[in-house]
Amino acid sequence: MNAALEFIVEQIRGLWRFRWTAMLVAWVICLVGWLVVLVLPDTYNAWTRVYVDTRTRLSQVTQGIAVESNIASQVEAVREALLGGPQLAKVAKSAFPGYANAPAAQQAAMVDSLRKNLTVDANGERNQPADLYVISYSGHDPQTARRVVDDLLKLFMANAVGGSQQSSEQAEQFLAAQIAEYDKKLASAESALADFKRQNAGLVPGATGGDYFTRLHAETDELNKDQTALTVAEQKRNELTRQLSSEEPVMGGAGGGGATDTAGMVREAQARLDDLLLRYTEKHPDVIAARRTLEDLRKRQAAEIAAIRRGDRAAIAATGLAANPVYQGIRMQLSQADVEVAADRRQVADRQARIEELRKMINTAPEVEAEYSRLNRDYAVTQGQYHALVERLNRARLSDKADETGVVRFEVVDPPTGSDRPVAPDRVRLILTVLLAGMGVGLGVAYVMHQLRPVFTSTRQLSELTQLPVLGAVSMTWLERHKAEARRAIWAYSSAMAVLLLLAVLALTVQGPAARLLHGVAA
Amino acid sequence: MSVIENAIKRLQASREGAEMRERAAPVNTAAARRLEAPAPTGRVLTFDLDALRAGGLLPPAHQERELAQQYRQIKRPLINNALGRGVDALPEGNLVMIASAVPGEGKTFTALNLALSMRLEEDVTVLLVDGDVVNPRLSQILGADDARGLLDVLKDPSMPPASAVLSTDIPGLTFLPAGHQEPNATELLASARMHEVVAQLAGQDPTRLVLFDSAPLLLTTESQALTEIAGQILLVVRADQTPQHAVLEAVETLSESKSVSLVLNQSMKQPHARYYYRYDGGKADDKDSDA
Repeated sequence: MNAALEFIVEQIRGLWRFRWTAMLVAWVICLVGWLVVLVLPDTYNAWTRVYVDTRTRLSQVTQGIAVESNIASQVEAVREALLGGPQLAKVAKSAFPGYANAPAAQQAAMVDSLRKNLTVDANGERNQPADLYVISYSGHDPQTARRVVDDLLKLFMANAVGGSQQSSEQAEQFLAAQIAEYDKKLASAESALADFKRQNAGLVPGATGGDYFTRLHAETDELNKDQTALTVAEQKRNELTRQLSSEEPVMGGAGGGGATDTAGMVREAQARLDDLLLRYTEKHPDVIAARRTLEDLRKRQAAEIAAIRRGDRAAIAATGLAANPVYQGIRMQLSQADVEVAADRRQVADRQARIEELRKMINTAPEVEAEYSRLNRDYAVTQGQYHALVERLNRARLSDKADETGVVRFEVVDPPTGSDRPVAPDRVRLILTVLLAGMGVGLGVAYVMHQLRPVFTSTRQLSELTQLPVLGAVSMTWLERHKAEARRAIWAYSSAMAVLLLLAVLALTVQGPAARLLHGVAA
Repeated sequence: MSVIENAIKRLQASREGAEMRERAAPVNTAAARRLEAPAPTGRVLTFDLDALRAGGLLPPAHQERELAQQYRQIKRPLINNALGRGVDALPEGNLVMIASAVPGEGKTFTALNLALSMRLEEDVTVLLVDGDVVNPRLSQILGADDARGLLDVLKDPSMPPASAVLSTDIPGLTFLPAGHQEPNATELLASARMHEVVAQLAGQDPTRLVLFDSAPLLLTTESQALTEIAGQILLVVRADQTPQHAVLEAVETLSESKSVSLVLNQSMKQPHARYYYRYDGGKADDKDSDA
């Protein structure tokens, strides 16, 4: 016989030797195990599925305008926050009736058990835009399980959706309140400034004016300039007056001064006559005509001069006798200079009055100015704040709008559901497992016993162990009563096995009601 | 612990049983008379084979040939050792003790069957001695439990050992019962008288094989005394039952100078048996004559 096969046969026979031990162990394990399985409390499961849409359609549009939150990390944070202490404590408070009155250690234990039995799983890749969140809880009471999941879902929604919404709402409210306040402040600052301006009109520097001293200095400078201008203007007028007195108003005679039209014509006519006389005699018609023209012109010239002497301007103009242009120019300049002097005088007087006035205010003006600048500054600050707040509010509203239109969208895919039938323990499987375990352990024990208390199966083994000659083996003798005994033993053994299996079948059949009965007894 | 307790109990039970039997002897007188009557040196013992078979001391009919072959194989080295066939003869090799570590290993069965097998040898005679003075099952089953036996001979120096030896209806086989219970059985077995008795029983004739059935080695002291006498010790080991450590322990108790051999009893493995079943008929007989 093959040595390996022999070994295997030996082991099997060894196991068979301790078959009753194995059976006993199997029975004990099965009975105890089945009892435990039946006593195990039922576990109910409740769960919900939430779709978290993290599409960022508006991100491009709102970039730079709205403050974009990192959605993945936000949801992750919610997940963490959900399983954190305060959230679970809230859930425990509503789910466990005895929570509020329990001592702190027990409360902690309850929260711990919640955390242990609670799973929040996000399936889907982390960088995928869409996430399905499964919140599930298993507990010994179906109602509690469902309530826990329900509460958690609400918290989840409040944290993820409301979390940002609520906070932005709060921010908006805050901003609005601030704006209203600043509005009032701004209004009061404005009115205060206006009042002040009204009360201190003239003292308050204008849009271009500097402070008091600057103004005084400027006025003094201006006065000096104005006085200089007046002096210049007066000198100019005196000079003009002097020049005018030494100038003839009208240019006199043919030879005199500038050629008027008549004189010119006389000269032309004389020249023409002279020219004609060179070529023609006195009798020539042309010479006669020219002589006549010349005489006419002389008469006219004399008349004109007489008119001018009389001072008749119209006559002068009519006679075409030219007035003296220098005289005319000086006269015009003179009148201009007169005007200038008058204006400068007026200005100097004004300035002097103003400077006088400013000098009078030398004590009060700086104070007013300081007060004015303070009011102005207050007003500017308030206004700046107000504008900043308004801008922020607008931005927040814009962000909010972006959120609402689908940056983060939550949808409850499966509302909280719980099974009325327990999901665990799987008693059928456990019972079968216990049966197998019992048999396995029984076999194991038998094997160990066999190893601990070895016997001789073959002559080879015998001679190997004793190192003595083995003369031979004598076969098992099968007497009738031995056979009967063996049959009985086999029968008894099979019966024990059959009963065990029957018990297993029984346990499988009645496990549901039996468990309820046992729980009823325990309760 | 429990093993020893059990042994003590059994010892007590057997003593009480012996007393009972003595008291009940008159009832059994018919059988006793039948056994005693024709013996010139004592009684002639009739082997009721069916009863022995029913009592489990002989193999059942369907296994007879198989076991006969097995015992033929076992007896061969024993006889060779005793007679010096092919090997050097062992000193007192004709005194063979059938021993075992614990009870129930099949010593009596082995002793009886071996004796029956050995007596078939042409040139030997076999004396079967019930050395299990604590629990003389062989004597009981052969109906000689109330006869005078070994212990009586040991106790009474004046009594010739041969006078207690019973003839049987099996040629070549005589039987010495255990005799009446004695409290100091160990001392008797270890005594000089024992040597004397054995010497007288075996004589100087190596062809006269003496087989001692004995008590378990680990439980009794009587059998330890017997090991001193025997030239060869055959340790019976029951397959699939006797713990290995018990066997090894029993071997430890035996003197190294003794020739110790083993036989595996009640073995489930029967490679040769199948062979003989297959080649049924005259072949086994041929083998027998060969042996």
